[in-house]
Amino acid sequence: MDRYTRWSAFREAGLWVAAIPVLAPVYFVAATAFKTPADAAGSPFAPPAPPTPGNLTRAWAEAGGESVSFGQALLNSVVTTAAVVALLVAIAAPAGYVLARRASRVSGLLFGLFTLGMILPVQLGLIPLYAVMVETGLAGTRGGLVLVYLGLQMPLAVFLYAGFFRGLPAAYEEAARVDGAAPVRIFVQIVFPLVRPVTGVVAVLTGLFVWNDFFVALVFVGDTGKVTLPVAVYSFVGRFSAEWPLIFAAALIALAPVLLVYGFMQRSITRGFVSALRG
Amino acid sequence: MDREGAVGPHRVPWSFAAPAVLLYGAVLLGPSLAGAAYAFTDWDGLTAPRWTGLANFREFLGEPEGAGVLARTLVLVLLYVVGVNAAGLGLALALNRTLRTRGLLRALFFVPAVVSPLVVAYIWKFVLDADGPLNAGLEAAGLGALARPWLGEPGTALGGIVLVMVWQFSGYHMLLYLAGLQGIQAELREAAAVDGGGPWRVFRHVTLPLLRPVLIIGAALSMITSFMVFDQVMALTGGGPSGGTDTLGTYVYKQAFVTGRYGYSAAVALLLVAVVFLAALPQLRALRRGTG
Repeated sequence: MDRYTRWSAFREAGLWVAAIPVLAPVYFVAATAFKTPADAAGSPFAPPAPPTPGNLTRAWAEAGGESVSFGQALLNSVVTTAAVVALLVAIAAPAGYVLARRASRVSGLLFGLFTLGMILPVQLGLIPLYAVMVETGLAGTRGGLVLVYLGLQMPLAVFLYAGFFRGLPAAYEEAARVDGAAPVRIFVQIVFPLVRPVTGVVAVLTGLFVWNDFFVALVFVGDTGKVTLPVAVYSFVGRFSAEWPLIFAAALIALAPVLLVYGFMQRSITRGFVSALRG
Repeated sequence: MDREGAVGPHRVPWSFAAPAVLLYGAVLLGPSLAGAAYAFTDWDGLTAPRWTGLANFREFLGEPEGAGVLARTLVLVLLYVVGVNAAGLGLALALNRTLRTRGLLRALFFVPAVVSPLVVAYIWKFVLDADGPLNAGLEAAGLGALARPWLGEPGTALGGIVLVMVWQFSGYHMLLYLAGLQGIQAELREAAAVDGGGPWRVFRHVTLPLLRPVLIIGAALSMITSFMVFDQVMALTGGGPSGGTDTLGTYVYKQAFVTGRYGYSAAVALLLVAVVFLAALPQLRALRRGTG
């Protein structure tokens, strides 16, 4: 590493100036969420004086539209995201393992199909998929939503796992096989724990996608009791179109869990990303 | 093929891949193939689809509305790909040095990437509003003549959308390039020492060529996401003013769910896949050549 010189200090100051545009909008959300409507009509730069929690309680009580309360939407987001992340890891990891360990025309074809899936927009198959979901009674249910997210996120997860398993020496598996271990046991006890960095990246990418997604949730569970936070915020904005203090209070409630988790896991997230991207 | 030999008689059962293949096939691949078939029909979702051949494609490409959507999407993609990768690479280069608050700065620049694009869009709608902080700031700085309803005028609305997207994902690309830079650290230092060149020459002749694979990944990722952008456009402008910011993602959605022209919508979506595929193919080829 290079030495810290006067130039470094100058550069560091410059970076903090560059960080102002990153932080300013976040400040507006936080400040406006605690202002009274009269206060908010003044300068957007002024801090709330005094801060009022009224918007937060009102947003919590009223947000989400007719079909769902904000607390219910928060719970929906937590349950849906957790289910998708857990199931995706359990399904994509063994699939990536087969594709990496089997070198045949079939595995090559499957790998190509999964790669293609990364550029298929959900819009292309949306209507046929929606029709099937309605026919099977899965439209509007949480199980249906989880299935859709799993299918959409599968290509990237399989791709990442397969890439990492390819770089993993097969010596441990060989030893276990010689000892007479069955494939499932070898995978669960030996191979899977070795790819923890990819599991971390898949979990973070998928978790963020599901937690933040608006489009898929709107189409498949819109106007039901199963809507997730972004849909709740969206319908909220529709009803209180220019009441920024109220809108930002709702946005803050939706934002807080992600920022909290990121704050606690920031170091391991960054490290996991770096190690997986280099692999 | 040699890997098979290395693993010996040990075979991972195909059944390990079955659930993944089933889910992907049922949710994404199968419906996409069905959608591709509907692209050649006139279908309203209620009555039986009528085969019309290439009529949908001809209509989209031949009429000003469709051609405008396509041109606008290409402009948005170009501006976003250049903007987000330049910003991400710049941040990564600046933050790959010895700094006292390096960890904190890296964490801060990544924060927008974890926030829902919808929420980000609402925040910026507030900032860019006619009575918003940006115009207030311009007026306070004596630049009131520049103030305008940024998202309400066709000339600035598309640029505003790109700005919001670059703001949100620069930190994501920064992380990508930091990973790349850390992978080449040792080679970099040796080459630069032998060379004895200035910082610009080291960057131009050493860093940039070594970063090539990561640059290609960054370009491909940003291109794919921006071709399909939906949430941000919908929340910032809804495609307005008067269709002035409709891009492929919102246009496909509106044709299907607002106008009920499913066949036509599927044709535009299929065109989108073709464009993304054609644009991503040379990059993936270059990547294989660069690493293989």
